[in-house]
Amino acid sequence: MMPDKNGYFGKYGGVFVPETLMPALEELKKEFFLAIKDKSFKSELKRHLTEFAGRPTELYYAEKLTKYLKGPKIYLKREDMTHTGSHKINNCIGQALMAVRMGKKRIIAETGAGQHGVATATVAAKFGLKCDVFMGEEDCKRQALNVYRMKLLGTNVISVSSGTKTLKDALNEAMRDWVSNVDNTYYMLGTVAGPHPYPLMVRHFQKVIGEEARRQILLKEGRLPNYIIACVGGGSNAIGIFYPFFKDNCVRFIGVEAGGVNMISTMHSASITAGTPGVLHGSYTYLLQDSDGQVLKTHSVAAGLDYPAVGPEHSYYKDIGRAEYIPVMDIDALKAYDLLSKIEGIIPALESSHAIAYVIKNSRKFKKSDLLLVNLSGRGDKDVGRLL
Amino acid sequence: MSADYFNKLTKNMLLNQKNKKKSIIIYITGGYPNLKTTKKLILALDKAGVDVIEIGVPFSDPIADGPTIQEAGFIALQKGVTLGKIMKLTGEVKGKIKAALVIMGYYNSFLNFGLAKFVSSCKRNGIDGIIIPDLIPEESRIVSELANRAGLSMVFLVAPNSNEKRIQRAASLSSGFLYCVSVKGITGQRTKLPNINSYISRVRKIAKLPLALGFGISNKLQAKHLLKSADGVIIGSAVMSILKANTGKSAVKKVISFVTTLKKGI
Repeated sequence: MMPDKNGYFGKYGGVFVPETLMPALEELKKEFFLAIKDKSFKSELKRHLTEFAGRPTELYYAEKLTKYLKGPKIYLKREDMTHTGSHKINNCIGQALMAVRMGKKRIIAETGAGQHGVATATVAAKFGLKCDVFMGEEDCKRQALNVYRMKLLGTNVISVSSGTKTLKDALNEAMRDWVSNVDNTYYMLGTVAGPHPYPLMVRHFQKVIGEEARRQILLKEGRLPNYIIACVGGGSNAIGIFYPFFKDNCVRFIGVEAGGVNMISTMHSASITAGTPGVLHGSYTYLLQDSDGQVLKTHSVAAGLDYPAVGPEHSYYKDIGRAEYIPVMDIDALKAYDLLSKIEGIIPALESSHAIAYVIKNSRKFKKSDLLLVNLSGRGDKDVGRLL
Repeated sequence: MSADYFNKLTKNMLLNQKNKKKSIIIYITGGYPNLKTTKKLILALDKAGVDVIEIGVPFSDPIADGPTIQEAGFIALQKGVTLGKIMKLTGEVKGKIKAALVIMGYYNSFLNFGLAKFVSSCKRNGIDGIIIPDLIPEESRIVSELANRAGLSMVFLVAPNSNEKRIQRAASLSSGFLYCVSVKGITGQRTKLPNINSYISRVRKIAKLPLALGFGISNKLQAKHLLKSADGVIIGSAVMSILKANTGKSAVKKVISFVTTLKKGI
């Protein structure tokens, strides 16, 4: 499933940005299509993913969780085992190679939980690029460890105090910086959102998750999974694991959104479940907005899911019924965080805990013969400090 | 299709061009510090001889704006200002002013309102033109068609890094004027602006409509200098800073004295 030439997945996507960014987006689009056909680009990407990021990641049979739930057979795709501790590194290596290819000396990025920020800071160090990361003031507080890691890696972390002081405002500030420094700066967007070609490009660099998982499950089980379950904030880990199974109609996709404290007020960030289509950060997609089109403040215990929009490809999957999107509350994600740590010896990121929580809560609804593939998109060490 | 509509915006701009007069376009955030002041400002700016008044619709995520306009919008939103309230206000001054009124806002505000309803509401409430800084010509088909049919002007933006094809595209869909962004960046006062001569002459070769420069212009010296090549200047953040620093009647007065000095200076 490729978006059309204007970057639309069905009616979602497109390019809604200030004119000043158009030359940069056109250049990026051109270079991206050249790069993915370029053999040396491909082999270099593969080499860094192997040698630096530690791919392929394991597909792990969660035997104790499976027995505990007495339900379907559960496999975890261990993105938490990559260098820097989450799937974000896949995209960052790909985009760092793009930046180098385009001769950009400086990269900028936004970050919520700090996982994309850390991955960006890491590739900036590795490839010798100057790096500024924008992070909401609130998030800087709740993810202090990641702020320290970025600084240690030589990145300048800019605390954003405008608006709601979280991920969406960090993204606004990154876009403002990009408009102002567009000649020498590469914008390393961290998720499958933003104007075309970002949703397509980030998917391209994340689909390695699903490609590996598909091979691995066929090898281990001799069949495809019945369900793939992943958490969705902007949606990059979910698209990464869903997309390579897109044509396998027997495989059902479940995107788990952040249900926050409750779904009645706006104390959540379940953009697809509770939002309506609108334009934010360069694309037309499901969005949490008020009756006047103002973007709402969102909430999630997982900073990486605390975002009012979602990648346009997910909006498309929702409309065509290819994927289901279901919210899971903070409290259930926290229980899953605890349970997986205790019975499997794996501390999941609070973001990924939402996907685990969905499985725990719904284990009875699955058949015992069902095969579940859950994307464990990141590790939870970063969350320990906050939960102490 | 450009420049054929004779709404007040195209008329004012063409007349100025014919008389070799430079145009002054003033931006204010609708509802900052309150809607009452916005109304007073519109009337006073018109009286002071401003050619075009651009009313900004506050938005939660204004990615093209610098801190001054961001803050003004944020305060207006906190006070409950909406697109509907702004249009009601412009409706109240309709027929009472010579200046053209242009509405400026982010696409989601208008999309959410309903594009057809938005355009007809503009028409009914005395708005002559529409500026949407995050809507590129390629994505504007529906709203451009609606505006065209209603006899309203669309004003697109070009930037110093826009290529010929993009300038052509923006110019062909714009009427009244073409918004030339003076810098690669966001709105907000700057002490130094880049040399715009070659940029403006490049745009002028392609675009046959009046060219107005905006973003970063803070005083009459800068305006005077820029108007050697451009047909008009758009000033926003400098005006919003004056509004922020003063309260009540004196705020409006100070803005008008700034505009009067500007007009004399150019």
